[in-house]
Amino acid sequence: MDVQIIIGKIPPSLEEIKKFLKEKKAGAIFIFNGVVRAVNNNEEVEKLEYEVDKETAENELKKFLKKYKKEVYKIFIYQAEGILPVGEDTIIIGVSSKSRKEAFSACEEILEFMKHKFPVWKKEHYKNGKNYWL
Amino acid sequence: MLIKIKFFGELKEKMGKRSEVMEIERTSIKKEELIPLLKKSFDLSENEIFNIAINNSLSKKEAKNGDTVSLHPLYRGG
Repeated sequence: MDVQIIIGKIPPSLEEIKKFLKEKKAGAIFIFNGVVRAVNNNEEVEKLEYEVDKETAENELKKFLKKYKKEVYKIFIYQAEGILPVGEDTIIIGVSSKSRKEAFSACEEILEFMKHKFPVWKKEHYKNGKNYWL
Repeated sequence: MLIKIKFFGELKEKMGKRSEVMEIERTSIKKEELIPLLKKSFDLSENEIFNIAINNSLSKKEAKNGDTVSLHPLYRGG
């Protein structure tokens, strides 16, 4: 299985991600794209600030992805770090697999892992000048 | 032994620094012993929940001289 993990400030284009994920045996490519939303907790968001423990994040993610051995062929993961204005990409997960079921399921599992077991923190900055670590 | 402690997220702001070197009068220390020691040393609340990575691994259970210990507040990805 091929895996590409990018933790950084500029995501690759959708075309580049699809090019990486394409695989002759695959019948499905599923791509999830999280973005910064304009309103959270009834407050207008100006930007999100992401901090990542990059080395630990990559290590733990690689360990987690080892579970996908058979019908998942390629996995692409982008995690943003730094300051992101509203509308910017926060996370991109792409999976190519034998059929849609494996791609949907792997994508959801990876997303849940990255939300709860992945060393990333975000601070939300609001238009009213307040900011909080979420 | 000397270990490097790295702070992240809210904890980094609270500490006002990214890292510091800590001396412990031991040759090694288990993760479950390290957590209360770090809470005491850095004046963190007993109720504060955080994870520890040793040399960039969450599954390592013991820190030794020269290791890097990353102190992680609760994860907030997505």
